[in-house]
Amino acid sequence: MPILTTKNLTKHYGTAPNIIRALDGVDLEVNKGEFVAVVGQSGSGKSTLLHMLGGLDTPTSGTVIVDNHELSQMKDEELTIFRRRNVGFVFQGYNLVPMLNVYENIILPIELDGNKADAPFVDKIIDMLGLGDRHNAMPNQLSGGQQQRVAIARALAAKPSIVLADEPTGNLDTKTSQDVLGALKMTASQFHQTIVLITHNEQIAQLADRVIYIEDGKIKSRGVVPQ
Amino acid sequence: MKNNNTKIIRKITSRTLRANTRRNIFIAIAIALTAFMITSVFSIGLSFYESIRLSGFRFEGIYSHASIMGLTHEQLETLEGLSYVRRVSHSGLVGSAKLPGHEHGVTMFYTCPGTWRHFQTPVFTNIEGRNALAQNEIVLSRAKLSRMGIHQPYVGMEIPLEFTDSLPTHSKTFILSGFYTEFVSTLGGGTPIFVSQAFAESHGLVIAEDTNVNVQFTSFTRANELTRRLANDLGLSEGQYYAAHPAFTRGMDSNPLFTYMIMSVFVAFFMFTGFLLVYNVMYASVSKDVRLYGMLKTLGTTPRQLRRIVNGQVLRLLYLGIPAGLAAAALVSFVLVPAFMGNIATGVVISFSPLIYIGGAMFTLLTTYLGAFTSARKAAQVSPIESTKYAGELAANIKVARSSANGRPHRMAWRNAFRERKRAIIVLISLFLGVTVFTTTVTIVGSADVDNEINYWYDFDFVISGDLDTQICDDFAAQVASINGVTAIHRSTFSMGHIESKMLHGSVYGVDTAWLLEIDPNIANYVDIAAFERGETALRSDRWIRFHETNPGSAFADMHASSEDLPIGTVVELSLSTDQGTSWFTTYVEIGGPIRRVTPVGVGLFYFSFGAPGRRVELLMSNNFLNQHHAPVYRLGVEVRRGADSYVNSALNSILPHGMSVTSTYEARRASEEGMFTLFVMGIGLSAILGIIGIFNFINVIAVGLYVRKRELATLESIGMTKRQMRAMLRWEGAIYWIAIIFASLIAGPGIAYGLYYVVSNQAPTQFPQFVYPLLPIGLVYGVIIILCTITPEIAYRGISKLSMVERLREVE
Repeated sequence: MPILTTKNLTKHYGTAPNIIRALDGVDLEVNKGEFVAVVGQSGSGKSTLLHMLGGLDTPTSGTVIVDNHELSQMKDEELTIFRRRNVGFVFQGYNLVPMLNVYENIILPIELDGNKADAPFVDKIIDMLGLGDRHNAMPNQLSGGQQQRVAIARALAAKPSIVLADEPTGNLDTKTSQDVLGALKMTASQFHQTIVLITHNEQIAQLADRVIYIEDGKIKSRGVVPQ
Repeated sequence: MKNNNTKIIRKITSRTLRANTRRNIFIAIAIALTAFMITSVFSIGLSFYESIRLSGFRFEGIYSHASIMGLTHEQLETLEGLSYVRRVSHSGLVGSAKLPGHEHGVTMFYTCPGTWRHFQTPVFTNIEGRNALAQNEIVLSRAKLSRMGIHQPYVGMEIPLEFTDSLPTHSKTFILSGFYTEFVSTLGGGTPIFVSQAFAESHGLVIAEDTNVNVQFTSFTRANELTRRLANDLGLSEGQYYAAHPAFTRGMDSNPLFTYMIMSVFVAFFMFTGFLLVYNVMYASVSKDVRLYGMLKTLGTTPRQLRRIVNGQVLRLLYLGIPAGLAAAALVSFVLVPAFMGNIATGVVISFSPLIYIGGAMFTLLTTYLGAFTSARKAAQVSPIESTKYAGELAANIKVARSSANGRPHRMAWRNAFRERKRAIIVLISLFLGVTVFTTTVTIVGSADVDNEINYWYDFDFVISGDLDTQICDDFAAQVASINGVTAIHRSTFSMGHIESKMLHGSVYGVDTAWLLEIDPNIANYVDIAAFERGETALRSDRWIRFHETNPGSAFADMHASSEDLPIGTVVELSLSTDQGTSWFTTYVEIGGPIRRVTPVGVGLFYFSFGAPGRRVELLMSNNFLNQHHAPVYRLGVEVRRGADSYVNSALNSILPHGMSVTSTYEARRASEEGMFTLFVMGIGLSAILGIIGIFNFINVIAVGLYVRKRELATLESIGMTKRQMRAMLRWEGAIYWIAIIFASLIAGPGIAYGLYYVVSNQAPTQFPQFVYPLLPIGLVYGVIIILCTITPEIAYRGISKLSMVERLREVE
């Protein structure tokens, strides 16, 4: 049962004759609990695809359906609320809020939604990601790997339908990259989370259940959907 | 979708607030300045206005909105029943009493019982006792008691008086029921003796026909309009004179709409300046934090929540700024108001109206919200994707010249300076306003010519005058003439005059013919000087007439003669008081003139409130003629040697007898100079505030502009732009600002300054005879702006270039 579906998704920039087709008719399905990696060269359209999947940007045409909700039908406010409840993001640049400490950053989407964090659940994530002793640290007191772990914890804390990760190890060394991705995969499988990971690194992509190749805004290979 | 997320929004708001200390200081200052300016201007203005109005009432001796003379019984009854009339007081002449120490008879007036409480106590001070109620009770001013030799009066004191009414002289011992300090012009003789209505009735005085009626309306702001309505409703006939109180027919009260417009312009101006700063600083702050807002939005912060975060920061700064601004305004009102208005003899009213402070706070709140609104909207509309790449705004339609010169610093600067066009324009407007207010102030102050004004209004260096009872005797005149530094003295006589056929009454002043020729050599061309000397020609003063003609439609102006009442060349029968006011004689004079004035000292308006019916006029006759009829010398003009002002001033004050006063060009010059200084300080203060706002804005635009362009500048350096080239580019960016401000100021500045000069010089042509555009101070201000615009980008660049280029490139990634 797909939790994420795109139909004929296109995103064009500029006007003819200088039109740039960042996405050009992408059809994609991701099942619940699946870990999918989208691989492509720089400028292939993979980040644009992720932005569309997360409702951060609006498509030129086509539809994105997340957990039976069509994103293009939603207004800005509605979409933002949907995003904080259903989508967790992990960015290359971590994007932690500099004036909030580790714990506050992790539970931020939950608090923005007016809810109380599921403390045992959040603590479990924090422990699994090895941040147990860094609760009160500020982002500028953490290493790159630690900051990305906080970002992963934040993405998982609200128990979203889907986690979108955009080059999460782009700023990390090999060893740290492996640790972080290992932590992401482990926590996601533990909590049956769906993950879409964007990367240009084949090796990293091999950690996923399925690898999708994208080139010039079109999907070239969809991999094998696990049964 | 409603949920309780107040806590986290509060947390983000307060943390964001804490992370922006410098910005917070700017905004708090902007808020405080706005609150301070709105509140203090209105508070000081209201105090000043109320003090001046109180002064008007106190000089007149009655708190009345309008006066009518000679009403019938029926009219009086109608008057009391009018819906817009709150209170009516009536009073009337009973007779004249001989008081010890007073050479002339002092008029006795009765007042109705309600007059004291509502019409008289507001204008007297140091009141002891109460009004006269019983037949034998009497109320006197301290000045009169003092002249009678009673320096320590008490309520219940016996006052024996000789008085006359329509019957022969009576003697009666009155009981002093009250006494007070008055401010009524001494030349008019001060307030009369007040007796009770019961006393008046016992002497057969009827209430109507012979009485003066004073009226208080339900709304004093419409006194002028209601006075005319009242005249209509009562069907006043000729001879039943009426007038609104001058305090309501002049200045603010005469035209409330205009007053409100002026007030609105002030509020709008201060709100605009406050808005400029709050808007710019907040907008700069949001631009700086655009990545943060984008990130928050990515994580699920809704546009509404983002607006709350931005507005919440401003709201917290309001808690700080508004009380600070209001406190400063209160302090200034209580300290500066008495200092500025200390020379108002009738006392200063310090107005502490809570409404002004509430209004000041509300307008500041509105200003701040308007200023923060756009920034909050910007934060709410931030695109999560765009925010990560944000590097300042690019003006949409800057033409990119395709030439090899684009790498030159000035070309690059030109494109950079107006990237954020809206903010750049606001910086230019605020700095331009600061410079313009400054140039206008120095122009007005520079164009003022105190000497010219003094020479116009004052014929003598010193004028000594007394009241009707204080004749200036020859001994005193000789004493004045012997003071070291006095070069000449001129006597003026005084007589009361009445032209029966025209129902005109007023003052007749006597002058030496030689002196008249001295101050106006052309007068011989249109006045028969020999006839003037013989008393066959009286010159008409145009002081009241000008008031009549420049205020057509004003109820007060109707009290004054117009040029049609007394045309030049007509021969009239003039009754003059003689033998020190004890008898009258009649003579025929031809009306000559007109002349611009006869005395720098106004006659008290009291005459009109309690005096005889008729229009007012002033005439000038020769001393020679009036002397023949024993008219008293009431005024002494003194000319002094240059530089002897200060000495003569103190010498005169030391020999001045009781009941006389001295006015001098020396004091007038000092007062005028003080007034100009006050104007200068206020103008410079205002331009400094505007200038500071402009400078804050400029620093902010440059500093934040460079901050968001950090990566771009690091990139420029990485591809080979030297620090020298970088600095040159930034200097050019500053130069574009100063060139624009100075250019705009040179184009518009003189026009605006001349416009304002034109307005003030029309009001006071003698004070502002010539337009002077002071180049030196304006040049200095231009210099300050050039220095500021040059060094600010330099300092800001130093701030961001402390880190190495690689670190800067990495930091923003």
